Amino acid sequence: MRVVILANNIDEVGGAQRVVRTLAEGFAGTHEVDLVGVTPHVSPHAYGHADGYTEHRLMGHVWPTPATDANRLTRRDLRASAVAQLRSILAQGQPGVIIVAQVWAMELLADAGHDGWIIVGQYHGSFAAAASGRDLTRVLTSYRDADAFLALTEEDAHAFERCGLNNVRVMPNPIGTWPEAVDPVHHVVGYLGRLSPEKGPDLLLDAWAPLAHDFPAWSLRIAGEGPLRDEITRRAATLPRVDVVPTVTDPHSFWKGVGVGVLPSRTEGLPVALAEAQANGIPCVATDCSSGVRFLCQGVLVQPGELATGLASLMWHSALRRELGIRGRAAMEQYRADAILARWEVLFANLTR
Amino acid sequence: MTEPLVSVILIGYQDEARIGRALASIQGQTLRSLEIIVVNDASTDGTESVIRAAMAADPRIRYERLPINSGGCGVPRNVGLALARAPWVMFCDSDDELEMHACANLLDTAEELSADVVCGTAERIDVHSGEATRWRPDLHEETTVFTAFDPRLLYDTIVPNKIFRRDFLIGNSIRFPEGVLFEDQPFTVACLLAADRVAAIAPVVYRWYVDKGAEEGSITQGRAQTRNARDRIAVNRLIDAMLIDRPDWQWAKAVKFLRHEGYLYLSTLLEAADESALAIAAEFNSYLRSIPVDAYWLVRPMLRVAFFHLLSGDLEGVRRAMLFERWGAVIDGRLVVDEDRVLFDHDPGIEILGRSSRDWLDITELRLIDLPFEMRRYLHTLDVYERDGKDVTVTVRTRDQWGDLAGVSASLAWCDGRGFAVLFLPLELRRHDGDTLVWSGKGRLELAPCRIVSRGDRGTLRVVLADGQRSNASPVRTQCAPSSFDLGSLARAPGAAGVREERRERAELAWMATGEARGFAPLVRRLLTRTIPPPNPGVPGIANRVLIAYLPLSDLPDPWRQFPFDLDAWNDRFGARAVLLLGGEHMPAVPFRMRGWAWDVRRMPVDRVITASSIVVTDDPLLIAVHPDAIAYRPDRGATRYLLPAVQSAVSDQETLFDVIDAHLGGC
Repeated sequence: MRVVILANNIDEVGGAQRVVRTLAEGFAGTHEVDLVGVTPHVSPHAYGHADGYTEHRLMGHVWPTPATDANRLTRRDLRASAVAQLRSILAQGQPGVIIVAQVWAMELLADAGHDGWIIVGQYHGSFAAAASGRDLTRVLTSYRDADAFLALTEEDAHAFERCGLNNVRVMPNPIGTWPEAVDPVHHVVGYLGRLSPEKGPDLLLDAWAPLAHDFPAWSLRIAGEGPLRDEITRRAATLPRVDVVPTVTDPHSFWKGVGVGVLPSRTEGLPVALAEAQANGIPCVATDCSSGVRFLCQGVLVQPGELATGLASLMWHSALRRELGIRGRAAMEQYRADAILARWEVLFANLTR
Repeated sequence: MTEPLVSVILIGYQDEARIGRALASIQGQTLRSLEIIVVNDASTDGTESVIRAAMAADPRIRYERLPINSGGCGVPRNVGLALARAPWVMFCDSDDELEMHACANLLDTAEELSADVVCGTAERIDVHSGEATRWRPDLHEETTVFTAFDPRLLYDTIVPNKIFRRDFLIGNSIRFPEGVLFEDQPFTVACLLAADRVAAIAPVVYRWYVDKGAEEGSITQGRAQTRNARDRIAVNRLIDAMLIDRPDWQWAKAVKFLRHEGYLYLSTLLEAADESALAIAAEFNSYLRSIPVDAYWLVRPMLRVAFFHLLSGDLEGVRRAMLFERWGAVIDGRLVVDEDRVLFDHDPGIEILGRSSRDWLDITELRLIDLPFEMRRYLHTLDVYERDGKDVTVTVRTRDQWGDLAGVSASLAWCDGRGFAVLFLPLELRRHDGDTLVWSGKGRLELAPCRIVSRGDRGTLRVVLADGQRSNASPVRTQCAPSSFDLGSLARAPGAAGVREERRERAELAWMATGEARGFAPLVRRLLTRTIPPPNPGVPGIANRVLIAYLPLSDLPDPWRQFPFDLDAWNDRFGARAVLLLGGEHMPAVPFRMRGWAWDVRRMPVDRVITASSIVVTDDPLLIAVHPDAIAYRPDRGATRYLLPAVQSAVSDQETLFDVIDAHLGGC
């Protein structure tokens, strides 16, 4: 069967991108897989060789934002060519399943037409995040007629259902490669994620100032790119023992050198970084910002202002770190790629009946 | 092709216009593994050609034509059932539609929970307005599995929102009764009795198109017919026979009959001609007498009063009680205070089914007698409505149920959506006929102070009663023909040329200003309404002030009996009338006895309207009755409404609440 995975972009560093790549690799053995990104990215991240599947990028160059008068025509032409390109990719064989990772991609797909295809829509944020902006309306309109709409957690699924979607199912994100267990002995607090306001790296620095004083043996390592990078780097220089490093290709190697993971986000879906850290056996402190985080986090959940307290409780106590690490790794077993891919196959079988 | 998973049985008779839509909704299901069985109940129109055209393009369709028309749904559905081969069966009627994920959702749930029957939500869609309401939402809030009797299931006995295991139907010999209407009910009850597991799910699976006005159309809608009443009773006797050794079900079914079927037929009597109304009443009378008398005390008080009149053979009494039910708490009768009780009309001193008429007519729990003046729904009847050039002649009758209208002034008013007069005609009291006041008015319409009329303005004709302190604006009801007239110089601001009236539901008259759109009207209106809040004529603006307290119902364990506030004390304290506005997340849970107070509140999505606060203070007397959204805090409309800080924790303490209000009003 043909499986087309359609995402806004497949080259950026981020949770959604890692998820679609994991799926593409996983399906490659049994299906004929196309991985389609709508727009290329300014500085594409090297994801390595596309093994067993075909990559496409619909737009000839990067989608210009924001929408200004100056780039209005460019945007119109880019969009039209993307729709045409998508149409020709879909025409290259018998219709199968299209997995649409984001709403924008779904809107393009609706323009391109998808007769005969089975559509599976996804939204990688939480319901609360969708409801706080325009996304919710877009999700409700674009995905209403899809064969299935996949929410990340049961709680989100119910919330979307209450808004009138009748095709909601639950599908958590997979963890790409399953790592070896790590003993969290390093005196390093690790942050891995985009450096953007919604991920809250600034909150982490606020919390670090007092901790640095109380825990002279500990350091903080921040890895990632993003709009806040300059500001974070500047502030980090004023604080003791903070390293800001470039983003990493292999998240597991990052977590191997860390003793406590931290997710200070303001909003989240089902955060891949948290799942990966815990899969490594790293105990984590996360802000209680979404049902996904509540569901996933096996370490310490804190309110945004209590990040320092949460971190301190793990930094004090090596036995607690180890225990929470073991518990977290065990809980992540269900998100191993093979388990999630099996759930996808069950879903395909159900949707093709 | 592999064996189909679900057989969908679509039945139709003389429905060439709509059967194509129904068929397309089945063909377009996201579950593709279907067998579509279309049973044509001997239609003579183009129904067959619509089906044949679809068959040519879709091999999943099987077609069966009955040789003679069966006159109901039972026969064609049984024929379809006999033809079905798939392990699961669903039904659809030719004038409705399946929601596109219906089969997938029902089948997945049935398999996952190994249920014999799964019910989804049906959505009733008004064919004229397109407005959709969920049918029996309390049963369909989330996925629920029933393994034992639950009375709620009796309230959802339609068939097309369900999936049935075919083995289960065959094994228990469950078929539709033939030759009667309402065949859904005995079929569903038989399934509920026999099933080990029944599940209910939240998603909408069925779009049920309802034409409230039409006599024709869907067979079961023409309620005015006596055949319906007879079949309804026959079906209920059939169900009673099935429940013979299940006392728990019998009781729940009796209550459901009164609340649902009883209500429907009593409503029919409002409009039906006397002979057919009497025939229907006769059909019902003997069956109603077989119902245990205590069940009548589990229905709404005014509905119980209507049953009393039906049982005692007083058709007029039934109609007066049903006006309250159907017209939004209009009281066509006298509220009689009898010691500690309030009765609807005088006690005739008879006994029905072993209970005294004093008990039957007891409507104390509605608390109507304490209803503040502004919130009452008076019954005003417009008897004469004539025009001679620019002069209008009217006669209005008003029922004075509370007996305190002496000295009150009245005007007939063309009110806007919020219940404020735009145009009005002062009325003079002609005479007092018992508890009825007769008013008349003659002359030119006047424009209310600070108002203009511009194109597109609209509202309802009401009678504004005012006693110098307070006002009440209840709609007038009339059989008179609506009129249309020129505004002439009344329009003061450009934009409106005339007024067009039309009849609405509940015998109300609606009006709308017509004319050409021009530029100034919105500006003028804004200037006028910004400076002065619109008063009703005859009442100083400030005395319109009403305090409205909004209390989330969840804070009150028993919302009525333990209500901690004394409304009169509020009035003394603030020199304004206090009105209760009750809300909560689960509005259907508002007990009916509350609704006399805040009739339309139950339709209000409270969460959306007020999130920051639990108390709203406003000066708009008809806020609740007229416009549900009006209580949203709108600072841009001038400082006539105040949103108080949340005082949820202090809700049980009146003094604290007073202090909060005081502090807030003082600050404004």
